[in-house]
Amino acid sequence: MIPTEMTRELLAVCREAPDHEVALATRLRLVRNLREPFPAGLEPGERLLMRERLLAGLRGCSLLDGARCLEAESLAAHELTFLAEAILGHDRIPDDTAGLGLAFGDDPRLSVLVAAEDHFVISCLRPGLALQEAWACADAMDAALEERFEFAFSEEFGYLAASPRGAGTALAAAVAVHLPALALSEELPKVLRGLGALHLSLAPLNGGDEAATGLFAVGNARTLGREEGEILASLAGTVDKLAEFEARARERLLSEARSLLEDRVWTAYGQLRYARLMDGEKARELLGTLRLGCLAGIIQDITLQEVQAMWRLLQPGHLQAAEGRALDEDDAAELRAARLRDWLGDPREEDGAR
Amino acid sequence: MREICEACGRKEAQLRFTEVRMDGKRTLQLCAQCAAERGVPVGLGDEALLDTERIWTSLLRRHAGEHGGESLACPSCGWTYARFEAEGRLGCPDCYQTFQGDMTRLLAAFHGDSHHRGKVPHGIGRRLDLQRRIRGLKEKIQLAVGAERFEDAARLRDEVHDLEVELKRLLDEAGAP
Repeated sequence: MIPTEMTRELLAVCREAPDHEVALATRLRLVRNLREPFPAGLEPGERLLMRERLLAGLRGCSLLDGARCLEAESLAAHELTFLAEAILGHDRIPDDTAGLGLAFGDDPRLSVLVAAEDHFVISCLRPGLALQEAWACADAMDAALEERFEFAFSEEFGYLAASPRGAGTALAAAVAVHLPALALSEELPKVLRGLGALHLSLAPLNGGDEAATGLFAVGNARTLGREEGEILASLAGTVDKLAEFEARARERLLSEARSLLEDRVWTAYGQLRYARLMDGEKARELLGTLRLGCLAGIIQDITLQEVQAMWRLLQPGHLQAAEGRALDEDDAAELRAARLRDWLGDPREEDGAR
Repeated sequence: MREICEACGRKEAQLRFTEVRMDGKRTLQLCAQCAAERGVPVGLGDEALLDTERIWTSLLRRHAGEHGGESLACPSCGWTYARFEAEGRLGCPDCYQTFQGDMTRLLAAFHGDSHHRGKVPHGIGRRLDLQRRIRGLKEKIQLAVGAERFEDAARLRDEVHDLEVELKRLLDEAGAP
């Protein structure tokens, strides 16, 4: 089981959302391996022994002093989903979880995944656009690991990873961005072409329907042949550019299709406020439209932070973690709708109570 | 006049591709396939998103034809190229050495470069630095000998010796072969 206090900390992190127009969250992953076979190819028993050894080494790291460690077999499925959403930043937990370990520092936004495909994956999350801050954190963790372990490295291929396409810096930097106006416009292909030239990738977040939610992850496609600083700088510059394009697309929507946009926003607001059952995908889509309404000035009394916090807290793993138990889909849909009403307030309910 | 793709030199170029690097821009005329390999969406619809997963998979498939098909196995872990193709991952760090030719070609095609730039582990960085300095000094010794400056050559040889002692100590500490 995930310790209650850790769940509380991870849920509290959801409320720290800065006021960036497009960047929702920053995630860095740094892969490091030892000079021995990669974990995924080992026999189950060997892999468990390896995990024990790696976690023991991690506990002694200066940066993870007294690290809290979790082992995948001791976690329920809904807890794994929660950790995937909260720690690995939207990525799914790997299919084969037997033998996985996770270690956390005092700040749960810094974690090290142990004995997955690679020996170590340092993961660092920050709200909004905070690539430099996240890099400082991951870099320090890398240095702390290096005090205890000797890494597999080659002059030609850099840091060696189980999957060779991740070798080199072995750095995967990604920013979750919300581009609802751009997704509705015809500009998106042009933007994508520009990103390709910069060796960046853009993919729908969580494999969702990008046109409906406008949620994307923009990240580096290249890990080899570019220095960490260049990767981060081109990504940061690109997020700023995307913010500009999005603002322009939003202005155009407002001048060319104002009533259409207002209708979409208020319809979403109504559904969020009055629904009695709300599935996860639908909630994401409607909150995306609501956020567009906030940015376009159509909705005045809701902040971006509130929308972002709801976005995170209503994800299936987060919802179950807050309840402290597994929920089936019907219960989750009912609870999600109730949470939304608590937030937006249903005046009829208030009248009824009087 | 028809433009020929500057990457493969075979097919007709269909679009201009500007690659932006820290050291400047360069513009290439590319065919659809080479453009797709660089992550440029050609045509829209499904193709519109930069799907690096698919680019990698298609590279692997294309490389399968060029790969010699020899049944080479990694001496450290027994991994074969066929297993790499099936699972998409290698067995151990030594596999990079075993399949060096394949890795160099695949990574150069995927990343546009097959040589690492950036951070180096602290201990290894020190080692690489020593190796580079020793190589440099040895070249200087050759030059000194050629110019019959034997005193300089002897002094340089002493410097090389000191560095080699330090390098050996570092290698012993790390338990490297």
